[in-house]
Amino acid sequence: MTETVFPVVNDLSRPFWSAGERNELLLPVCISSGRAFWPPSPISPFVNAGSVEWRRIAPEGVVKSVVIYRRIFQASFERLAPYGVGLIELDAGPRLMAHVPKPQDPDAPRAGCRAMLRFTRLLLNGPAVPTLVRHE
Amino acid sequence: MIGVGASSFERNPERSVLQMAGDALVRALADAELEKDAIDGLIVQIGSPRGADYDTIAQTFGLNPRFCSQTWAHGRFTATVIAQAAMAVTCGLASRIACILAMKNSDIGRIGEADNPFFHEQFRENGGPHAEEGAIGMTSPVAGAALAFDLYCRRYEKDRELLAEIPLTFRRHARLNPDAVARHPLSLEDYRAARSVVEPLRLLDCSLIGDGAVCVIVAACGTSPAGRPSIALTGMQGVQAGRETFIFAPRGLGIAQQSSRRLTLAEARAQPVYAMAGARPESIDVLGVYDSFSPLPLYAFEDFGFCEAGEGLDWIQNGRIGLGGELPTNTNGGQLSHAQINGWGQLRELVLQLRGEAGDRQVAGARTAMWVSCCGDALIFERG
Repeated sequence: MTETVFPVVNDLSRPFWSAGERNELLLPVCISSGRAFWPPSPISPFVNAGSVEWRRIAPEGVVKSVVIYRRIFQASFERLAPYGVGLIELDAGPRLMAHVPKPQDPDAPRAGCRAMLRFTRLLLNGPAVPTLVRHE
Repeated sequence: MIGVGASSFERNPERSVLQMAGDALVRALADAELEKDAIDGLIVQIGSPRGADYDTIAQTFGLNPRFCSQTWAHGRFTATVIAQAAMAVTCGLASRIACILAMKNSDIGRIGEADNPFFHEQFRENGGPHAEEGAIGMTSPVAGAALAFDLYCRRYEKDRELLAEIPLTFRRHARLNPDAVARHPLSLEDYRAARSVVEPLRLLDCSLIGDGAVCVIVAACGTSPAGRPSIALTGMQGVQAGRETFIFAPRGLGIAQQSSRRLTLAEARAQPVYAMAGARPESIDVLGVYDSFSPLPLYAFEDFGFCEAGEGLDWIQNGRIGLGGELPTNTNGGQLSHAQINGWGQLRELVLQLRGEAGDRQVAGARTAMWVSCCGDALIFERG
């Protein structure tokens, strides 16, 4: 089976990935409640029949957890190992998963610290994906 | 549950999954003292590509069911399959339903690897079935389990090493079970020395690959073979979903889009399965719990009111969940040591326990058994 590591990009998710290419964070927002949410949905997950628009969101928040990959499942990520995957709670509310490069570096983001999302191209010809960097 | 049967459990890529399904079906029929023609319903969990789909099973074995159903190719729907069977019998859609899980993993590698047929699921829209996000390197179910456990230990300020009690207890049980795939002794030193897979989880926190099949025959109460205790399904509830849930976490842990509001003990004790069965956590003599990763039982103990939220790691210590303890759990060895067949090994074990046929693992006087998972599904059975 061919290995691909590209996300599904379609009409629903394209605003996120296109903004990511400019290192900007766009998230869907429920217009009625003003709350940003994740993952993307054509209808608000919060209110009945709520409509949704994409808005620019500050890519900052608190890291809740980082786990470290010791076993590599995808060959294309092998040269990045050991790498981390972290959960960030954005100040705007939603939590996102992000790649954590070199999680053992002293200045790597870890649970409890503030961080920001930076869209980074991890793989040749790959998309810019969310990564976490410490942001005190 | 009038009959139960199983294949052997082993890692054998050369064996057909239909051989396993056939062995389980034939043994369940013999156990229920039924002819094949008596089966008029078929529900399958895990079809292709790891198992056989309902149409293949019926055609291959010469069954003629008038009611068929099948759940997706992952776990989670163990209780739901049995609940569907009970509802179909009650509604008159069928009278004797063969519920079958047959699964072979030994020939497809691990989920998350490129040559595994489930590789592309991690790129499923809005995240994989275990919260995978392949584009950031978050592949394989183990990462979501590791994140949830890390978050859990931080939230409740617990030492992750307390978790050893779960794989060690289930291995002790498996050593008494001739069916189990992993029967060699496991020490605390072995556990601590196991290689890390996704920190903080180690290899021995992950269920082992084991192929096999289980068949359970569900029919109306009072139809068990003469002279055998009937095993009645008295309570059930299905898998839960939504923003308050996460496949490998309790409700309200604060992972993904969950709130941080855990169930109170009173709420956990008010899960609908208890009211339906007229039971309480204290009524349960023997428990089966979903344990594809060793932290998952903790969340089920808490969400079903066996202990308070955050107390699980302390509560399981000192033999409480072992044979001879207050709540003997996964007495067959569970997915961690018996075989990774999504809890069907435990389901069969619960039937054997209530019938008094569990051999060296028998819980004396077991009358009430429960299946439970951190996905919110549960079953309660009574010996009649």
